[in-house]
Amino acid sequence: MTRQRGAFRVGNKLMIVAVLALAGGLLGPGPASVQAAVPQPTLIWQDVAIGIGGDNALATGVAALGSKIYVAISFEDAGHQ
Amino acid sequence: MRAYDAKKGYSWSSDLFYLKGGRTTGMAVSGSTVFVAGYYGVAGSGEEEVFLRSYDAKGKGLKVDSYTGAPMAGLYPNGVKALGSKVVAFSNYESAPGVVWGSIAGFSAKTGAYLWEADYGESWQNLISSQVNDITVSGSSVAVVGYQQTADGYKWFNVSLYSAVNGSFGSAWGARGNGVGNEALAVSWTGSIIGAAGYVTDGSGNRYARAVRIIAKGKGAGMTILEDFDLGYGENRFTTVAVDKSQVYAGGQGIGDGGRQMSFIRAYDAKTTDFLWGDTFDLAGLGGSVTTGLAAAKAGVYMAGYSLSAPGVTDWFTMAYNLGGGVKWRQDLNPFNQDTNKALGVAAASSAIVAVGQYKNNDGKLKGAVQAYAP
Repeated sequence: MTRQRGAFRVGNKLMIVAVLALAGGLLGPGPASVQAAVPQPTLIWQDVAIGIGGDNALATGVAALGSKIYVAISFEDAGHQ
Repeated sequence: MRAYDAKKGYSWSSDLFYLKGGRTTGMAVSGSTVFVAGYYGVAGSGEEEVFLRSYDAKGKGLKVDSYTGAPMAGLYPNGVKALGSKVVAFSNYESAPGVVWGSIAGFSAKTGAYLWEADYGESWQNLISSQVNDITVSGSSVAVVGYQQTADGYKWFNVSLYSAVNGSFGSAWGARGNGVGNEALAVSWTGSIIGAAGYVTDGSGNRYARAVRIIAKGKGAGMTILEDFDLGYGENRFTTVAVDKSQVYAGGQGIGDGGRQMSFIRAYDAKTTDFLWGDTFDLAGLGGSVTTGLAAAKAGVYMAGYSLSAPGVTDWFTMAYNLGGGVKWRQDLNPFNQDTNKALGVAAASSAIVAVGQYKNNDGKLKGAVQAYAP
């Protein structure tokens, strides 16, 4: 159940616990020799499901200047991208 | 384009603009302007062209939507980098089928307006093609990396410097192996140290991941090969590089034992050029690893990519190392047990490490994601 750890847990811990439990049961353990030795980071925040309603979304570019972060995104929506 | 605060997260979004067959490929921020680069399909022509849009950095809207250079094909790399008041974009175009030429162009950081354009490759070099793969801006200069192909057919691993003020040529360093395929894919510049990385090919077709260091100013301004790295099977490349005050880091992938494609990172002393430490890994012993980004910060060096976690399933990874090479943490991401999850870039902000990429949702659609981690 280690592969899903940390994902989507900001502001939605209960749902993630459920996802983890289900996925863990289905998938079994990951490569424990590697994963047991590597700690997870502290997730400060996240922005997910970008491109809702569309498909083939991806965040490709990221630039940071001090505390400001800018991310380039593209996705398809009704035949456009 | 979306803007975030390192501590608070989401801040604002730009307008959506619809460019059929398009994709954003890169971005850069100066003090007051954010630039977004990409390409799109030209209706009815079958061609692709690049775009560059500039926005107010505080979210007050679009400044300039333009690119006034030569027609350029989005099939080839394009992007933009900025530092202070200097903004430079790069792109590549075909002058004839399969004949690629690279170019760079300068823009105003204040207004976003186009200023100048320059070819990648001087006329006296008698080149038959060139391709820009990455640029970085430092002070009033821009370092440009890619390949330059001479009339004998050899592609040269090349690093060139131009003025970021007017695009005039400064200096260039080239190198090649005994094979025709040699190429620099990434560049980073901090202080007086330029790091570049890519690959060179030997006469038997073996490809080695090459990292180099250039001292941009002062004595010893030559290009020093840091390493030609091989996992043992002659199929390697560095795809990303980062430089801090004391080290040059190069990341990439290669074929290792069992035919597994592994990600690797290699660190070198920026002054002595000595190899310091390295790490090679895949997530589950199945290979399929691709390295997509590298960022250096005070607290460590960070690598983004993806790797097979099960047959046909890639997981996003963001890996953190301390400056001595110890693994600090790793984030794997596959939130809905789907087949496609990829980290596509990483950057260091003042108090957060930000990774970007995509994952497959539980409805089977690919979605974008941004995650910020404590360093």
